[in-house]
Amino acid sequence: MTVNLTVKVAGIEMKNPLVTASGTYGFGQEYRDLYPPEVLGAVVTKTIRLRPHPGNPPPRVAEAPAGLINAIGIPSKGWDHYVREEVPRLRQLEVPIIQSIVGETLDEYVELTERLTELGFLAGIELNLSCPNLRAGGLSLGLDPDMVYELVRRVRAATDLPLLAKLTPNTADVVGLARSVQAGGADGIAMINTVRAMAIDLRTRRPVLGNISGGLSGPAIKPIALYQIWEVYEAVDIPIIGMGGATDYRDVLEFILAGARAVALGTVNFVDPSAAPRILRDLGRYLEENGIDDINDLVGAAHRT
Amino acid sequence: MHQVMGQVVRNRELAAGLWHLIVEAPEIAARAEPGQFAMLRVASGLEPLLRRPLSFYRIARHYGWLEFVYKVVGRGTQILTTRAAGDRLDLLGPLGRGWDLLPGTRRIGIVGRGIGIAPLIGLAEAAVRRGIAVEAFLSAREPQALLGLDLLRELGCGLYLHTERGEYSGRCREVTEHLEEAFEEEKPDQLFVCGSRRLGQAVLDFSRRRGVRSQISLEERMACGLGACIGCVTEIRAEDGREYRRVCKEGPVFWVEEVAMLYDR
Ligand SMILES: Cc1cc2nc3c(=O)[nH]c(=O)nc-3n(C[C@H](O)[C@H](O)[C@H](O)COP(=O)(O)OP(=O)(O)OC[C@H]3O[C@@H](n4cnc5c(N)ncnc54)[C@H](O)[C@@H]3O)c2cc1C
Ligand SMILES: Cc1cc2nc3c(=O)[nH]c(=O)nc-3n(C[C@H](O)[C@H](O)[C@H](O)COP(=O)(O)O)c2cc1C
Ligand code: FES
Repeated sequence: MTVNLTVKVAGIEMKNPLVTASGTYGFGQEYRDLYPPEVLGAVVTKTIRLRPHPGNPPPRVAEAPAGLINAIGIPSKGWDHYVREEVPRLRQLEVPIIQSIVGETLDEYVELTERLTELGFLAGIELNLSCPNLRAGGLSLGLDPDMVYELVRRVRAATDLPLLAKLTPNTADVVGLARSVQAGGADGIAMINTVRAMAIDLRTRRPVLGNISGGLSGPAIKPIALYQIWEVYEAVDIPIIGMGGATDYRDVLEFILAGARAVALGTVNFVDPSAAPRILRDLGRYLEENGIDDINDLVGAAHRT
Repeated sequence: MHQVMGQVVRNRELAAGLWHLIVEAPEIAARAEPGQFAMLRVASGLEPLLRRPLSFYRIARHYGWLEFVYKVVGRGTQILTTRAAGDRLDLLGPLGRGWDLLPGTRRIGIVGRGIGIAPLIGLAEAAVRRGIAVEAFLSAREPQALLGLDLLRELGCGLYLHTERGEYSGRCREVTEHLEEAFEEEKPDQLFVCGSRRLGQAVLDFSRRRGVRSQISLEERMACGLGACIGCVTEIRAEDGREYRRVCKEGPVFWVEEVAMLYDR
């Protein structure tokens, strides 16, 4: 029996449902010695900014129980560097590329989107609405459903490329945010980003991270991610790329059952940098052994009564 | 870079809390250079989650062996002590940029403190193999923690040792005094340092005064070890101010005059 692993997410054809989580896979070069990026359904690259930004002071990472807390702060060498250094190599990859972006203003999001669209090689754009290290007027931009709606609407008008909105989990109303991005015209949702967290060093009696707080990722957040995806799946019609602590094919299937059409691998890439081909192999085997001939049949299947 | 299941050849305690680990991993050993490092997965499950970075202590290419010396400081290194000969160990490497022995270099100094001596030993071996004279300036709490001493003796290196307790604690002298004394007549072509910021500053000062090209190996908290997460940065002095560079990719070895923290006193 041949099983179908291909999925279509926000209009993007993927040969399997495994993609990379932004910020954990660079610009597609770092893991090449271990496996070709073409193994993946799509590559989601590190979030870029329009203007150079140094990122947060070190230390930027701290270990937590079954997790990682990061406060990288989205360093960026700016647009020109991106076009000169990253784009030529990204163009070589024979896999859909989804570029993640962040802006300090709505105008910056729109401008980046226009410029990226003109480059002509991208499969889609992901709007990072959820970086806990970025603030707009005191509140994190991505926490306000009205702002998020406005942002997606304006970016939507600037491009025909598939548009994914990446949501923050650090809200009391993730469903409200999801409805806003759908109403604004997003083609899909990526979730979840990291959960706001911190670590304290007993030896120095000070916060570990240079930025004091950061975002928790890895297995520790998987149950949170599953439930948020579950809730959002019930509330919107656009597809979801699910993530948050997946480390093996079982986790991937759980995300799909909760409602994700594709699943992003993030922190697991650091733990086992060959995770993607391993999980893909196991996934195919599971489907075969369980007589499931199309992975799409499992999407949201946990909701069926 | 390879990710391999190496096989533990030996893992034993050298001195209190200081362990010597040998792993057979021919693919990595074939390409590893002194000053580079590997990321070791210490747990078989997901806790602790992250890999641990360890520098190569020695690289025995013809055996396909990688040697590490590690200090037990927390949970990960504690778990590592439970690995026995024959066990499998998930290794990622070689990673980062190693030491640069410049063309024409005839005489070098290695300057290390405590566990920071580890990445300098493979360098001393490589240098001696190329006919370069090596002077070693080593310090530690106690004599047993002076790593690689027998090996350096065998290699014929000049030794300048200092410990807080025991055999080498008699004449309490700063490393700067040792450097001045050893290189009074003729300066070294290069110095290589690892182990503490203070030591790095001493080497920076000496190198600027005497015009020596020197390198330092740095440590920073790492998540991926392969350049993807941008988590391990250190501040580097660039033409237009300071910028962050990744210790796992552009380092862990840097030219001393580039490293911003050596100027913050
Ligand atoms: C490039 C490089 C080479 C190194 N080479 C050696 C070596 O040859 N021998 C040796 O004994 N040690 C070396 N270290 C330090 C070693 O990685 C840490 O001592 C080790 O990770 C501690 O893990 P733990 O679980 O025992 O400690 P914990 O404190 O429980 O670790 C918690 C977290 O902090 C990180 N961490 C703790 N201390 C350090 C540190 N000093 N540097 C970087 N991350 C740290 C751990 O990796 C882990 O993610 C090196 C570090 C780097 C960056
Ligand atoms: C080191 C690191 C850097 C990240 N950088 C970004 C980023 O630039 N943009 C973004 O949208 N998400 C970023 N994330 C969040 C991940 O894409 C993902 O949403 C999150 O880590 C949860 O998935 P995981 O548990 O599988 O890692 C980052 C995560 C980590 C660990
Ligand atoms: S540890 Fe990830 S970039 Fe250096």
